[in-house]
Amino acid sequence: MVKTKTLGVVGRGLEKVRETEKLFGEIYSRESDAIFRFCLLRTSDREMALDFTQDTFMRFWNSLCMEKDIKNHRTFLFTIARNLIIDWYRKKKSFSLEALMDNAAEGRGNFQLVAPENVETEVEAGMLIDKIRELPEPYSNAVYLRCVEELKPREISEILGESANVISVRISRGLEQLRQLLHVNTKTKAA
Amino acid sequence: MQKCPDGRCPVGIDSVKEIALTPQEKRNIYFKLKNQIFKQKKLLRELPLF
Repeated sequence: MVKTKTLGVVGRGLEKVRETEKLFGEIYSRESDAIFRFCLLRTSDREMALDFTQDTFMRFWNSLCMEKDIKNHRTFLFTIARNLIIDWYRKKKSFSLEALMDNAAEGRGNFQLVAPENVETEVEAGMLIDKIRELPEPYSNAVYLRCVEELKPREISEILGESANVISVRISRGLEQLRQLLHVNTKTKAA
Repeated sequence: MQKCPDGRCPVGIDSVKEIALTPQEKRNIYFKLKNQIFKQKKLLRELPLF
């Protein structure tokens, strides 16, 4: 006798469950790096980013089971990740600036590449991530999602809960500020 | 494919895309997820009918 319960998992055909699992596996394979990267950008902590990645996909699984109408899996995943991280920041009782600075100083150790033998690329990636993180919050996410994850302004607007026009402006201003930060960085190195 | 409409993204941005999970991390997370999902299904099957 089959027991039917909430969440939609039990009570649906076994075939449907298998399809959902297959879809989930494909999406995880395709998007887990991007979600992890985003979580790492926002937390500067590899272990934390791994946890958030897992939580994001677990919530995504629940949404798939509830047969939510998900038009774009990618933007939905980023939205979940972003909300999880916002909640985490809100819950933190004390936000240690020292811990942040320690994280930033050790930052490059967190940015392990898939092929870590290319030290130069790893250093460059770490530097760019640091600069993107230095941008004011409204610009940082928009620039990152546009330049690194190649999302369209319309997709970014769904994730950040702003209009596409606002996102386009943030991308422009953010890139301008990023150029200035990188220019200052180049001048500092040359000096 | 251009990343930005007018190519304004910083030089070297491709290097950031190489930041990723290690194969081991990817597997570990996936196994943990599968485990959580399995436990969830088991719990649902064991809940009494109303």
